[in-house]
Formats: sequence, C-alpha cells, structure tokens
Amino acid sequence: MSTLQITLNPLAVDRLHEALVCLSKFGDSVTLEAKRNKLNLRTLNPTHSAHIVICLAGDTFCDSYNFVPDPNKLSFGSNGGSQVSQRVDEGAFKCKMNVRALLPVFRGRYVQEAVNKERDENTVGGIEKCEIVLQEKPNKGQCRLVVKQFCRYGIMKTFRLQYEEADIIYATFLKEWGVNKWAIRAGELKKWMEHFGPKTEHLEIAPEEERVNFTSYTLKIIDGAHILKTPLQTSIELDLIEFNEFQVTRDTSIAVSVKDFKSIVTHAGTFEHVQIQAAYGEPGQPMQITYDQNGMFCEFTLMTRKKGAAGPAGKAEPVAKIMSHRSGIPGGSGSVVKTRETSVVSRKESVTPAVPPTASAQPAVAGKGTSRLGSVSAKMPPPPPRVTPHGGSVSVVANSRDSPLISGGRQPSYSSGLRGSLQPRQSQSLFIMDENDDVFGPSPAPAGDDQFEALLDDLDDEDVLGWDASLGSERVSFVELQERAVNADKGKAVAEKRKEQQEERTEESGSYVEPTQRKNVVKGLFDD
Amino acid sequence: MTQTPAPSAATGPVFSAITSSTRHIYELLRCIGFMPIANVSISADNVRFSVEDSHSMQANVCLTPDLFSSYNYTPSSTYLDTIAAAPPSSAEQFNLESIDDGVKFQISLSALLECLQIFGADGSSNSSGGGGNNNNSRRGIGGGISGRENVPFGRQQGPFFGNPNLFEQNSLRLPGTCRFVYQGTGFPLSIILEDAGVTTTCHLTTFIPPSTIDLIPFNRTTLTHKIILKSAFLHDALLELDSLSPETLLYSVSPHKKPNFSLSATGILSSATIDFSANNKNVMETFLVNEACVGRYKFGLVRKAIKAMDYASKVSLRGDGEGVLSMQYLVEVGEKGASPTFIDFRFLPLNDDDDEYDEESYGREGDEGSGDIDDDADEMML
Repeated sequence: MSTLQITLNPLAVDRLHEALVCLSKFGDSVTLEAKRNKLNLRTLNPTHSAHIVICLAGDTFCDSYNFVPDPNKLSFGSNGGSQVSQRVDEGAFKCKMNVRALLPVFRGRYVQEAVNKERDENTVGGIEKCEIVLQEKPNKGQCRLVVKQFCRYGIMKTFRLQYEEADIIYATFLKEWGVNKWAIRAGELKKWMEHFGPKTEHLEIAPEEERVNFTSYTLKIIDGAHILKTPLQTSIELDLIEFNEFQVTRDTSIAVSVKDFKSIVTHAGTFEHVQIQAAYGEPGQPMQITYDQNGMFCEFTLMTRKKGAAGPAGKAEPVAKIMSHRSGIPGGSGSVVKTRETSVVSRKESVTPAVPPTASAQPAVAGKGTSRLGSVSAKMPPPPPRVTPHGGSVSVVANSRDSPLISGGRQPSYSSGLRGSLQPRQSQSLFIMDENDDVFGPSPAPAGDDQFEALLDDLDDEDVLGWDASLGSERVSFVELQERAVNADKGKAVAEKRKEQQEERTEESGSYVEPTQRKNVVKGLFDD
Repeated sequence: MTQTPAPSAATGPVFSAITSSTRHIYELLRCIGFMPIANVSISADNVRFSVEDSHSMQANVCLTPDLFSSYNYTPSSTYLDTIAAAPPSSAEQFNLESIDDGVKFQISLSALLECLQIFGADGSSNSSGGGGNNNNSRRGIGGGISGRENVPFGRQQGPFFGNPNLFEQNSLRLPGTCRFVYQGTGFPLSIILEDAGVTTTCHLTTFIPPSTIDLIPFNRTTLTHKIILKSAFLHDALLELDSLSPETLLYSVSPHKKPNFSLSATGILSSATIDFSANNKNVMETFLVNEACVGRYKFGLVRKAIKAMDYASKVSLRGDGEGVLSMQYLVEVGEKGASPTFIDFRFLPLNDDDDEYDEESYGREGDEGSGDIDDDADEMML
C-alpha cells in the first residue's frame, strides 16, 4: 500500500487549479504519477498529438510531500544493473482521474485575507491549507484520493475522488531533435495570442531575417467537389529583440495547432515572470515547450504538422508514439521568396493539379542542399504575410512570392516589433499552390507542359480568365504569368493575342466582367 | 375556472396595497420562483405565496405590510374602510400554522415575476427614491416604513445586497408606484405600475385553489436540532456539493462529536463532505442539538433553496422527529433595524429503507441531549 500525503498552501492550490484548467483543455483525463519527490500530472490528448507533463516538486511546490511506495511493488533484489536506474520510478503510484472531478475541488480556493474586517466578515471560501491523502484499501474496495480543504472558521471540505489504475504514457522527444530553440517571456507572447482567431487551426512559426512570423491559418475546406473558403489568416511578426534566445535554422518553419499553443501560452501567462522555452526540429517532428516556476515544471510536447499533411491538426502523427522521423524532407521552407530565379521555378512548380497531397505522395529527396534549391516553393501552406489584401477580390492573381513582377514592385515593409495583418486568403490559387508545393515542391525539375496543361484543365472549371481585370496594370493575372513563363518562345501571333487580352482587361478595370473565353479554347491556341 | 365574476364582492377591493419599490418583493418571490404556479393567501397580516414540488418540499414567502407603503385588506363579507390593526410581530406574521382565513387563490408566479420586472425590480430600483412620500396618505401604517424616509427604499444596503449598480439606467428614472389590487374571488390580481405618467396595468388571472393545501407537517414538540448559521456558508456548501451533481444530500448533526454539522453528497466521480464546527461563532450563531441524527434529502429539491441562501443573511435549520427539515431564511429588507422577512422551506426526508450510505463514515452514535432545546419553538429564530 502506497502512502501519499501532500500539504499545499492556498497559493499552491490556486496554481494547481490553473494547471488543471490547462490540462482540461487538452484531454478529459489526467494521470497522476506520484514519485518519491514529485508528483506528475500528465495528459495526452485524444488524438495523441499533444502530451503534457506538469511536475510538482515535492520540496518547493508543496508545503510537505511524503510518498512511500508500496513495498510489494518494489523489487528489492536487483536482478541486474539496469534495474538500478529504474529504482526511482519503481513503485511509483499511478492513477488516472477525470479532470472534471478534480477541477471543482481546487477551484477558487485562494481568497485574500480579509482586509476590511467588517466588510469581509461574511466572505466565505478561502482555505487555510489543503491536504491530499491517498486512501488505498483495495481489499475493502475503498480506493480514494482524499482532498481535505481546511477553510476558515473551522469549516472543512472533504472530497473523496475515485481513480483508476493507469499506465504512464511518455512522449518521446529526442535531444537531437531540439536543434531549433527559442525563449521568450510568456507575458510578451500572451499579448498577441488573442489575435489568432478561434476558428483557425494551425499556427506557423517561421523565422525571417530579423523577425519571427506567427501565422494562424486554416487549410482549405473541401465540400464535395468545391474547394470552399477564403479562410482567415492572421500574421504576427515579433522582432527578435523580444526573444531572450533565438537559435533557429534558417528557413525552418513549423506548424502546430493554434488551440494547443494558445492554451499553453495562456497557462504560462498566469505566472508572473516565466520564460517559455521551445525546442523543435523539422516539421513532422515534435516540438517541446517548457517553462517552470516555483516548483511547477510544465512540459508540453506537441506534434508539428508534417509537410504536406493535409487536414486538421488532429491528423498529425501521435506524439506519444513517434519514434521515427523523416529525413528526406527539406528543412528549408522560408516564408518569403527572395530571388527572381527561384520564384520562376516555384511558379512553374505550382502549376500542377490540385491533388490532395499525402505524406506518401512525397517523392524522396536526395539531399538537403538540392532540395532546398529546388523547393523554395515547398512552403508550409500559408502565404507570406507580406501580401497585402487585394480588397477581398477573388481573382486568381499570382501571389507575390511567386510573381517576380509583384514582389519586385513592392517594398517589403520592415516594421519593428509586431505587424499584424488580417488578410483574407483571397484565391483558390493559393490552395493549389500549397498543395502542389507539397507534392512537387522538392522536385528540382522544372515543370513541363504536362503540368501546365493539367493546371489549365483544373482551372477550366473556374473560368478564371478576366477575373483580375480590376487589379490594375501592375498586376498580371496568374494565368498570364503561366503563359509568359511557359510560352515565352511561342509565336508572335500568340504574343499579340495575349497583348490584346491584356488591354481588354485593363479597360475593364474596376468592374466585373464575365469571362468571354473558355479556358480550354485558350489552351488549344497555345498548343497549336 | 377563472374570471367568474363575483358581483357580491365587487363593492370594493378586497385587497389593495401600494409600494414604491417592488425590488424586495421581486427578490423574495424570486427565491421561490422555481415553480410556475403559486398559492396565494391574503390576510390582514400578510400576503403569503407558497409553492410546492413533488409533494415533498414546500416553500413559503410572506410579504408583510412592512414591505408596502399602504396595505389594506378588507374581507369581502364586511366592508370596512378602516386600516388593519397594527401588525403583530414578524414572527407571529410568519407562523405558518396560524389559522388563515384570508382569501386564497392560485396565480402564475412566473407571470407575476415578469410583471414586477417591468418596474425595474431587476436592476437597482433607486427609482423609488422619494417614492414613499408620494403616498403620504397611507404612509405610516406599518410603523416600519417611517424610519426609511431618508433611505431610498431600493438602495442596496448591507453586505447581502450585491453591488450597487450606480450606473444603472433605471436609477435615472423618476419614482413610480406599484399597486396591487384584488377584488375578490374570480377577479384577476391587478398590478398597476405608475411611472412618470405612464401607467401599466397587468391583470393576472387567478385560479381557484385546491380545496386543501396541505402544509408539510412539522412537529415542533419533537424537535431534534436547531441550528442558526450565516446563510452564505450554507450557500457555499451547497454550491460545492452541486458541482458533483449528486442525487441525495446527506445531512447529519451531532451534539458533541465533531464534526457537529456536516453535509455530504456523492456524485458519479467523487463524493464530498462539508463539515462545520459548532464552536465558531462567526459561522454558527446557534447550535442546539438534542441527539445525533442523519437525514437524507433529495438534492435536487434542496438545491431549489439556493437562491434564498444567496439572498438571505441567516438561516435556521430545524429537524423534527420524523426527519422533516425546515429551513427558514431571514432576509433583511431595507436598512438595518427594519423588521426582517422570512422565507420558509420544508423538505420531507427520503425513506431510509433504500439507503446504503456509508456506516463507517457517517454513522454517529446518538449522544444524549446537548443544550436545552428551545422551549418556545414556536417563536421564530430571533
């Protein structure tokens, strides 16, 4: 029979409640693991993509902590040398409880001492101390975790909580995965969290030259044959000055669930001056976020989105079981295309059919160097935040990262600190690019006519010609860019025709005009 | 069954009362507002609203003449235009067992509450600031009201009245009056709200009451215990147990053994016990326990008193030999010194046959008598 006795002061109870609130945002059950000198609270979310350990140190967090393992469960005769290292864990008491049963037990226990005697005379609630005792009588069928709250005025509240035995699930996070690190004050990060909309799914963290880009976005929503939505995307740029530490491999951007990240930052924000430390490797490998204060050590292991893994974050690989990681995925996927050459390549690559990419569809990539060269467009889904909103137009216009014309004509604005932009994801073309980036991005080979045709076929349904007439002369339609790039060497007649088209569009500027030409017709002309 | 005219009684209103603030009336009625229909009984002493649920709990609110600036009850048989005699003490007014020969009817309590809300009872009704003075002719009936002239009737006083809504829109309104009129059997209960020249009249249909309204019997001669404690602590304890969403409430008192008074409940995931010590005068004002006893009550029914627990300042808990639990909540209306109002709850215990509560934890040996039990149990707790 194990013995566990913990005494907590009201502030620690409050902290414990905050921790439980945080855990409850991830999963319904919490696993308690009592060791000789600490109590671990663990939660694994239902999709196994996030694992949380909150460790309460017996000496610093608790006023008193006494755990004596069950002698029956201890193996005293060491059968081998390897057993010695496990001795610490042996006999650890493990149980699983519903977090909803725990929450009310610790809710609102910290009430400040009465300042004004007369006014606060009738203040109820507020405890003097809290005792947690394990009552293990398996033979009598009475296994309870007893929490006694000693309140003011001699009132005592006793809670007997049922638990079930449980095995501990650990999350794997290899040290060598944590090549990228950063640390920031929790309060600083918390300030910006509310800007990420509640309906967005993913949060991309992408370093740039002097800043870090936090972008929340939602992948496309597919309804039947239609790719719906122009989901909200929010970008927040934090200057590197805000970070206490920042060591991230250039062009390593990862994406995690917005909800999880927000929950973590919210909890960290309840501490006064806590520093959040994050460590991660490549996309598809777990990310670990840690912080600790006053004897409470919190460790969150979140699965990051694999490149090309479509769908909600829930489909991320289970973090608790992931043992292998992919090596062939290029780490280089910066947010902003810097050079013209690469952008041309990327544009061609993006001209590919919208096949829902899967991890298995990814071609193996020989090496990092080559892959990076060819995969500048192999980005995580969100487009660079530098694109200004196009007034909500739904035109299929080339994105700035893909269009040398546009990106050349616009000065990147380097604002200091934060720059948030609420940008409607304006076109389906982004989705197409995103998806195709993932599928074909690593391939260094320039896209051929086949791909182009496939794109045109794909776009056929959407009658994209003429859509961007309102965008002014500077902007060139997406389709036109394809034409220019692929058919640069086509005959003069084609070029003239294209010029006419362009003029027409310029005249139409400002108003919506029905497309006048089917796309397949255009394609026929070019191919001939 | 309604609106049957009773011309014989129509010579004048059987009952009419005027108040400048419906706030307290509203708050009091809200405490028993968990049922849609209430039995109303009007007598010279008070207006009593009673509700019951499942034939196992009853709640009563008595509106004393103190709550009105004018209170006029005229039995239909004898037409009198004199004002009722000086009201008896609040305890006497609240004696539920007293012979009640007033008019009785049923009314939709939810509709009545909505009507009172029109008057702005929900928010701060400081509107009534000088309201009492508008009815000078009738003022001074209850004695209690005379001392309140300087204090707006609805001003939230004392620690139990929540936060004053200083910026409530209603506080800018001009004072108005609210009149209750009932003309006799078959007539509706009319509530006339006059506010800055606007008159709102609500006619609430009255229903014929059941022939007998059985009061849950509470035998004062076999009183087992009487505890008076601050209602806020009971409220806190009930809220604590409520989070488990339990079925039954285990209520146990013990004269000597600690804990002296405890409430416990068992939910699906956990069980909880709240123990009170009899020694702390900050919580427990009176603790008179004859013998240890354990009672089981349906939590869902006891829970209905939670609003009253929140609103009242003190509560008197009494149990009789049959296990009937009586809760009487003392509500301080107006400023200190004014006679309080009471809300009374009675609960029938659950049958002990099907119980399976934990003997080890809750069984208390029946120690013999503690203090002398209140001889004049008929007296209210104060």
